[in-house]
Amino acid sequence: MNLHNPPLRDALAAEYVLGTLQGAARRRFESLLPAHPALRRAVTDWERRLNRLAVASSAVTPPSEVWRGLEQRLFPAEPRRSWWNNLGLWRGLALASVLAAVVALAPQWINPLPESGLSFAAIRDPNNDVLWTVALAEDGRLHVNSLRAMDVPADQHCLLWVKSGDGPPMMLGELPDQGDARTLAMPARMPRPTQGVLWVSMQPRSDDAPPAQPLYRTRWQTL
Amino acid sequence: MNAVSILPPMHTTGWLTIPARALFMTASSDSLADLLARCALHDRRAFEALYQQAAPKLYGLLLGVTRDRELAADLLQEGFVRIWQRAGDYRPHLGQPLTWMGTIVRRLAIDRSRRGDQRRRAELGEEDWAMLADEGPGPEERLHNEQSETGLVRCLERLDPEPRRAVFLAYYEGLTHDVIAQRLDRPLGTVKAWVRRSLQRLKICLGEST
Repeated sequence: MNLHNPPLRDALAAEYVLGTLQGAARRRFESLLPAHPALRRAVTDWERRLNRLAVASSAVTPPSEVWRGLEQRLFPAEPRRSWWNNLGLWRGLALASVLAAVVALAPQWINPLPESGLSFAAIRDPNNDVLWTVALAEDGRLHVNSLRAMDVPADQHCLLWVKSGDGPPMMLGELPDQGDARTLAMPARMPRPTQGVLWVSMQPRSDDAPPAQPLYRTRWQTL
Repeated sequence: MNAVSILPPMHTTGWLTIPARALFMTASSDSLADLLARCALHDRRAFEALYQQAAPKLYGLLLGVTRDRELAADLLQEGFVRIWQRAGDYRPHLGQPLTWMGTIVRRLAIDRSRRGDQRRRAELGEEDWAMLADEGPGPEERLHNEQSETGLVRCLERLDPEPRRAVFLAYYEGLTHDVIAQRLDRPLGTVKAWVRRSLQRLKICLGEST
């Protein structure tokens, strides 16, 4: 196989993807793929072209065992954690409780009191699993806990916003996404962040523009 | 001079902002790109909706290539494990979501059927297949109804009918040159030349003749 001949390389990649390259030629082509990026690129390009045809394949309902098998393989019967069994949530609440104690026992330290209760929020996915907890500290900073390591693409990040009224949401900062915690400083121009709804967006790292719609949203709760 | 593409723009919003309707409306109204984005965040409900929307087409594609219900079901399951694991790798420049998912499952099917030189004896005969794959239009007619693929349809229409038929038999039925030659009752060399030239003409027509 002369891989230095681009038209031949491309023709082989095309027939490899279509499946008409067979037998020893196919095996030889496959053995060359790992060491030849140009060949892999040609294969990827042909997959992108030819698999546009997939949309016109006939739709046949798959047997129900396929979905059951997928659930068993991907989500083995782990005891579904309810939110009150969630260690991270309690850590967040413990922090909030400490803050509450501080507020109650030493009111002279805090002037004026932010408000009567302590504000926290739990951001949940559609399965109702808590992804992040947010607690508002007495100094106006936000303590954010990521409760689950997430597979966010390398060029993306999750941002926390507060949305109040009709204006665009205001960014509070980047959310941790590896089961870790972070403290977010509040922007100076920020009014009370609890006057509004929390939004989470996932967007390219290069783009910090306010999202038109959130990925997740939640309201503040008070303790 | 730049060629004017009549293709609609690729779906580019999925990664930027995910519509709030994803949270409130029924799963079937979500685009596949939105669902893939949510799968990347390990959102199981999105994965289930993605499966419900995409699995029938992908199972049909696998059945066409393997002609074996059990094998096609195994490959579909394997394919969706990979789709879940790699959802974060999907990018609009890789094609429509169904193109990307089709690549994953069809690669599995072709790899399996080409592992040995002997073609696996088909479980489904032509009549069984015609029953399963509904008695409606074939892939060529269905392509015409896909609003998103007008560019591809235009390029396929520029091929002569028999070479186009050879490409379709290879793609949708996973047939090799010799079986296509038997099916179309043409010499093997003719079929090989048809397929080779059709692929190059498709590439040029799709505007990627680099």
